[in-house]
Amino acid sequence: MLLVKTSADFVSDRSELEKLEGFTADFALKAGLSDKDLFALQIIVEELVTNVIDYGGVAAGEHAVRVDLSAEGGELLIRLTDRGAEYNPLLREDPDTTLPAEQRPIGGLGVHFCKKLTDAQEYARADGCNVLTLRKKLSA
Amino acid sequence: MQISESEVGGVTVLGLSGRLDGLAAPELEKKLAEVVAGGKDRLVFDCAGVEYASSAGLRVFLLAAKQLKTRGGRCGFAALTAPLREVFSVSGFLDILEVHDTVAQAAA
Repeated sequence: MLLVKTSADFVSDRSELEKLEGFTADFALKAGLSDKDLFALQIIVEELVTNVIDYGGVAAGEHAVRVDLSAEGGELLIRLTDRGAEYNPLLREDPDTTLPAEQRPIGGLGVHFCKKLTDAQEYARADGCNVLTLRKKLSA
Repeated sequence: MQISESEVGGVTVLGLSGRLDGLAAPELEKKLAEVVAGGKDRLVFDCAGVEYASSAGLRVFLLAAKQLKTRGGRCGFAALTAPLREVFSVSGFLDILEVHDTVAQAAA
């Protein structure tokens, strides 16, 4: 499979989620992603971009995060680079998914989805940026 | 996302269609607050039209289940689409929420 890659920048505003949807759908079309893989990709980037916007400490409307996507040889690579406060989401404790509804805390599922829907995750702090790289084997 | 409201044998049914993402979730949360404020204690979400759901959407579902349970009511989820079933599975919701194949079963 040929390398297909794209990237885009997003500002700190919830309305960017609409742009994110189009960006990922365009990429999926070019890279020939299945519906299932596109769905996973959209969840992952929505969760992570939302976290940067909500908790990254970037002023509203300012550049918040860059998203790089590439697909090659049956693998999808998702990389988010943001200038927000230093934060490694991978260190966040996984929610206890066996607790009954009454005891389940509201929230905390986003990062859990990102881990569960990918095969490898890596965090680095470089040049004042959080760089999160996720790899996912694409379905045949 | 479109939200429709109907009644089936005294049970409030919210029909959802479209994308239940971070932009749509506040709208659904508002609708839930209306239903709860209206004193309803049986609620079913008809999920047959849900094309996509992120944690923002699941958050509202869990909130609904908790709120209804607190008042001795019930909250069911019917006709899950493949994408929704996947996030329900990953989050453990298939085991802790009332999931049914059809609205009729969920409202029974």
